[in-house]
Amino acid sequence: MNSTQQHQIEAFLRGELNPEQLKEFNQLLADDPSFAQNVRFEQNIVNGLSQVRKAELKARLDAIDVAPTGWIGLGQLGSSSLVKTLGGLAVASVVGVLIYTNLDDATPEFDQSKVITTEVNYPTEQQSIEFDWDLKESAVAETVEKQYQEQSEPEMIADAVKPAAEVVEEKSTKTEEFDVTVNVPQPDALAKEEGLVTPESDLPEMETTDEVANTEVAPVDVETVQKKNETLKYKYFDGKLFLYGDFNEQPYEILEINGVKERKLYLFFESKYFNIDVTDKVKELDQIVNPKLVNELDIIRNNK
Amino acid sequence: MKDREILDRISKGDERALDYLYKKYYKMMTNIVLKNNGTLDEAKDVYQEALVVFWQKAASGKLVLTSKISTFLYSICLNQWRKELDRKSRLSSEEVDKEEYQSHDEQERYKIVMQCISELGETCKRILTYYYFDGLNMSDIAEKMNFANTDTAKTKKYKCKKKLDSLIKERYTTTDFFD
Repeated sequence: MNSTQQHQIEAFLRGELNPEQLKEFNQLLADDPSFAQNVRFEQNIVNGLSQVRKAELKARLDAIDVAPTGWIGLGQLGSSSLVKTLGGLAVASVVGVLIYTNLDDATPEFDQSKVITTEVNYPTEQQSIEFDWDLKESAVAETVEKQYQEQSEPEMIADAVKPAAEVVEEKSTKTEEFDVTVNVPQPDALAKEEGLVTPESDLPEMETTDEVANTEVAPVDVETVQKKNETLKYKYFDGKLFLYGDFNEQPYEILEINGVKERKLYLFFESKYFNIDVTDKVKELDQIVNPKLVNELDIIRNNK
Repeated sequence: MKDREILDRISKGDERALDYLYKKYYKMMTNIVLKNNGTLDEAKDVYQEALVVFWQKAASGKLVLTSKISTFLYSICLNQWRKELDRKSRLSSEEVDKEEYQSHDEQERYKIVMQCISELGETCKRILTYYYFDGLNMSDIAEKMNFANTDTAKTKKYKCKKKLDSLIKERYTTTDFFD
C-alpha cells in the first residue's frame, strides 16, 4: 500500500473525505481487492480503538456520583401495595422509636429541636406511562427540560470525580518471577511519563527503532469515589481501578504483582487484604481469608 | 456553563465538560427510560451511550448544533431507547441467530485488536483513541498530552500506529484476521 492510499484510508476512517473523494475511494474499493483488504484491516483497528475509548468514557461517567431520581424508587418497588406496606412499616417504626424514647427514664429529656421529620409520599396508584412517539422530539425535549430547570447546576466537576490522594510509588525487591510494585494512586502519572516531552522532530525520520510501546507495565491508575456508610466496592477495567467507599479516614495500599503474562492486584485497607479481579461491573470487595496468601502478601508489603 | 462554552471545551477534549453535562441532565435523560418500563441500568446505559455519541461528534468538530444540547441529547436517548425496545421485541425471532453469529465474529476480532492495544502502553493508547475516536487534531492532542509541539504528536501517533499494525500482523495471519 502506498502512502497516498494510506492517507486516503485514514481520511475515510476519520470521515474527512468530501463527496467527490468518497466516490473515488469507493471506486478504488470495488476495483482493488488488496486495497479493500487494507481498508477492512484499518477499519477493525479503528473499531477496537473506539470500543476502548467508549469503555473509558463510560467508566468515567459511571464514577460520577449522581443522586438517584424519584422514579427509581417507584420503578424498583413495583406495586403500589408494596409501597404502602413499606410506608406503613416506616411510620410504625418511627412511632415505636418515639414511644420507646419517651418511656425510657434513663434517656435524657426529649429534645424537640433534634427531631428530624421525614415526609413520606404514598403514590395512590402505579401509573404506566407510554411514549407518544408522534410528538415532535424537540418540542418534547423543550417541555421536559423546563420541568428540570429547578435542578441546580452541577458544580464544575472537582467534586464529581475525586482525584486520588497522595502519590507514593516504590519499587519493591524483585523475586525471580515477579516484579512487585506497591503504589498509592497517582493523579499525574501520565504527565510524568518519560518521553512525553521530546525535542522537535519531523515526520519522515522513522528509521529509529520503534520504542513507543512500553516495555515496562504502567502502574495501575486508581481513582477513589467517596461513599460513606456503604460496603467497599470496586471496578477494575482497562488498567483503571475505581474504589468506592470511605477511604478518607485511613490510607490504603495497592499491591501490584506483575507476572510474565498477567498482572494481579490486591488492596490492603484497614488491616485486611482484598482480591481485585478485572471487571467492568461494580463489585463488592472480596476479603482474602486464606492465611497462607495473607502471610505472603504481608511479606511483600513489609519488604516494599 | 452555556452550551457554547461546553462545546468549546469538548472540542479541545476537555472531559470535565462531559462530566458536567452528565450531572446536569442525568435526571431528565434517565427518566425517558425509567418512565417507559426501563430499568435504572438501562437508563444509565442509554444516557451514557448518547453522551458518548455527542462527545465524539463535538470533539471532532463535526457537530453543527442547531438546537440546545439538551434537545440533541434528548433525541439521541429517545432513539436509542426505541432501538432497544425494537431489539427486545425481536428477541424471539430468527433474525437474532444471525445477529448473534455476526456479533460473535466481531467480538473475536475485537478481542484480537484489544489484546494488541493493551500491549501498546498508556501513551500510545491515548494518542490513537484521541485521534481515531475523538477525532482530535494533532495540535489538541499535543496540548492534551503535554507534548512539546504538534510535530512531536504526529511522530508519536505515526510510531504508535505502526507498532499496533505490526503487533497485529505478527501475531495473526492475514487469513485469520480477514476471514
